[in-house]
Amino acid sequence: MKLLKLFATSFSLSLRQALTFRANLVFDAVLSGVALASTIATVLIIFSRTGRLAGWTQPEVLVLIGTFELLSGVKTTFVDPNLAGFPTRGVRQGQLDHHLLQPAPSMFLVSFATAAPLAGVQILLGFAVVLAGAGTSAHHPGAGAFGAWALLVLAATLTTWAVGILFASLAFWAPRLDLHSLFGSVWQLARYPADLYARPLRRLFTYVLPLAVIASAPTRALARPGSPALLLGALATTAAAVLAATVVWRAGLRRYTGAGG
Amino acid sequence: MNAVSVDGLSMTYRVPVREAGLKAAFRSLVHRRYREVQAVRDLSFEIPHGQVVGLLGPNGAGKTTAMKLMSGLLHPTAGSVDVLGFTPWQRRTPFLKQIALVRGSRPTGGAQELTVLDSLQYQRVLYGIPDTDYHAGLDELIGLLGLGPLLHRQLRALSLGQKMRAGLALSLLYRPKVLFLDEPTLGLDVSAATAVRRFLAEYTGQSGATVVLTSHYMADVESLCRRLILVDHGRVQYDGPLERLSAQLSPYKLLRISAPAATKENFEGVAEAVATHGVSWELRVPRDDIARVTAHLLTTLDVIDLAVEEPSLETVLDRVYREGL
Repeated sequence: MKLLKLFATSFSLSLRQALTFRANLVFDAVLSGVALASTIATVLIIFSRTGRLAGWTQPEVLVLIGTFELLSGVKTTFVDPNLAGFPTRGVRQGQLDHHLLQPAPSMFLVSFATAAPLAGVQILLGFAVVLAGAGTSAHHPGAGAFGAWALLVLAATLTTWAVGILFASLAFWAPRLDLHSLFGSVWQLARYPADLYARPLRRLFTYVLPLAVIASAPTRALARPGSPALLLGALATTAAAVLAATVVWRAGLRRYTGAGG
Repeated sequence: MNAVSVDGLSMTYRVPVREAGLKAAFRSLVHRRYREVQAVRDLSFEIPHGQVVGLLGPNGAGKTTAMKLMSGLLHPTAGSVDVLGFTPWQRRTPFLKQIALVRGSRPTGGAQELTVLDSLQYQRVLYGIPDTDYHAGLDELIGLLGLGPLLHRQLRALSLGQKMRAGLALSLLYRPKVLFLDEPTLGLDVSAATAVRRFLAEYTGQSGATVVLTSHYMADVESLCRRLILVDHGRVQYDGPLERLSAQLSPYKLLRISAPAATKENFEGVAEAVATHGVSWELRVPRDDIARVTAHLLTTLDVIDLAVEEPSLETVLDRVYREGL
């Protein structure tokens, strides 16, 4: 409860800050809209030539794009402002010292000290595309399918955060190593259907870097409902990612000797 | 009961070493060598509730490491620390709600884009401060620290002195029982440092908080601490009242004398003349000889004024840091 209150407070404070810059809000909305429109246009061009892409129909790919956009919005709003630059700001400049002496879990404080609420526009745009894609789907997904989709989006959010923590934790061993931009580049691969990749890559993106559970898994749950194995597999992957992040973070903290000065 | 008990505390860092040169750099890729640096060794002391203690020592003496160990940032290599009945490095929530570490090098942690007031509100939620206590504490801190004009400014836009005032407000809002102050006036101009010192003296007097202070500025120590713990090479070299430090560590006293006819020759074999300003002389005299030398000078010179003083804390510490005890 306290963590929820803290999260709400920090988001509300960031929102108050962000709303003072109206021009930024307009630009963020326009840029997100343009980027999304160009992605959708590419998809429509592809589907004007073919009926299926690696077994995925046009409505399914639209749901995938919307889900990816939504999750990208979550990542840009909550994960990036806190974990990008963690090796410099947190470890080398000593902000972690500050969090360690606060009465709340350090992993939570490091992850949710601030936010970029204007990027939330992406979340809304993504959701609109998901609805548009689902509306044109031949399966006509019901409430159950939307429930499974929402659950897997939550799982994907947790997985994204856990992978961000894992990359950030490497700074405890190599303080000059900032892999968040690498995480960002790899993340972009999640925007395509997992089936598009050759089998070795697909396995890599499922079992090593859990990209397949980011956008593909929720999309499947919505567009092709009725697969408990998919649901359980994605949730298990999320649990494993969160567990790994916690273990590595704790191991890193044991090595941490504080910033100098 | 003591607020802080430190017993046989030691902390060793393992740091990589390599010789100079390109060859050594390549060799260190495959064969890394380390050396152990003992930052704190066998440190023991106790601090009763409400006491304000100065933890002094030269650069690299182990003060900051000791502060980090006592506040819970670091695990020691050996020994134990008890702060308010807690082991600091376990970082239990009730412990963290009762202590604060304020560092002059980083007065404000957290998101720097937030305003001072936003950050204070976040502290209220983080520390679960009831509304009435929050408003009363905030009003008091605004008054004592002159925070009014800063409340709506972003932390990152503040000057160092303003950041320190904001940092103190953020740390004291939840009324910690033990306060670790690591160089609180570092880099501040005279007015800002005086304001911080005045505030800390007032706050500690009112709140009865236990304070451990490190500082290289003797004015901080003299205005706030009655007890000093002098640390060098990770060990306690002196632990006692501020007033006794000079007597114990300096075998000399200062004799200031104004004598218009005096020349350097008058002091030869009697005392060591360390400075002269017009007709005034500053002499360094062994403690045991002070009465004899004073009597000698009064009988041999036409003295207008004479004063016997303890050497300044700065002078004593400078000698101890350079020459040891």
